[in-house]
Amino acid sequence: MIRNVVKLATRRTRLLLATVCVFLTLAPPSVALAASYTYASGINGQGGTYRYYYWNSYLYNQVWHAQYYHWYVAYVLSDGSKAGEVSNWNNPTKWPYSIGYAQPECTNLDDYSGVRWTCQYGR
Amino acid sequence: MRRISFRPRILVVASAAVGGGLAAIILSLPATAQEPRRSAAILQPSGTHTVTLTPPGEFASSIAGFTRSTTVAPQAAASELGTLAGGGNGLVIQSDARTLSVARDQRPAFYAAPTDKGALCYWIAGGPDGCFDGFTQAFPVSWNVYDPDGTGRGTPTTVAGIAPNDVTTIGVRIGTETYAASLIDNTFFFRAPGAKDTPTSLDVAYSDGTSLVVPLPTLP
Repeated sequence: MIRNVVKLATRRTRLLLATVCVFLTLAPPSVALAASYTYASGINGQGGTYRYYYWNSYLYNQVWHAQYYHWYVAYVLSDGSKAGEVSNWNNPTKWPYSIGYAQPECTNLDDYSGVRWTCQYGR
Repeated sequence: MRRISFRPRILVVASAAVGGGLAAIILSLPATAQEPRRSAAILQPSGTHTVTLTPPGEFASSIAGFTRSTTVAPQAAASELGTLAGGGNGLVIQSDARTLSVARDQRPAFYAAPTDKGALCYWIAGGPDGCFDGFTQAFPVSWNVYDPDGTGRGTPTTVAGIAPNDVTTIGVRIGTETYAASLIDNTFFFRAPGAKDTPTSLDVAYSDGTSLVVPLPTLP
């Protein structure tokens, strides 16, 4: 029985099967990783503003940080004004909406927790 | 020597399982794993009230508006709240996502879900979302200062968030004026009257007659 199945599987179908298996193995973690891109990361550095240089569309803007420290995120528009501004001490500090053409930025208002913070955009 | 059998269906299912497992591991990785140094914030509240602390792991269930709500949050809200897993929050329990308060007049809906570590994640429709696991003396309310179209133009700046059970009123100071925020089921909301108005602090009043003044940051 097994030998018959092996015979039936041509080289082409085996190649196709291997491709499907590789796709099914790699696609889900790729999607999970591709959702967020880190544009700045560090420890402490209160008062610092970190802006991603690339003008593009973005799905969201957020910073993961230690709870009870104040952060601010925003999109910078081409005329220098801001959109999607939010400040709080929640974790993450997140603006969960998209924008067509902007630069995402994050500002550390008072985080000297010693915990690594990570500013991310969604694409 | 025994030959390895060739079973396409098993291979495909196993591949999908491995891929799904890897994705689950990646999504559950905490963004920050260290314990922060606890230190005083630059925005220190002042006043007479002493904040009651919640035992670790029990915060979400201590919020009366959340435990009282029987309205299941829409799937879109549960999905958005699910993106807040990590960063020490733990996994968001999307099946327990509820509507804290519904949209009415200019007030947006508030949605919330607990995490497996007892934190509360919430989303203000049209505004920000995030998680926290307790009120403290330095952080007596969970506020958000936000402006979708940027400060100084269009829609005025909004202050909104989650307050403890014993808060009776929240006032928002702008200049010399104090405006009452709408407070419903632990959620509060206030939109400034003018686009150029800048909220500077919250006057938080408690059921025992005490109060706190909570300073707010100016959006950079």
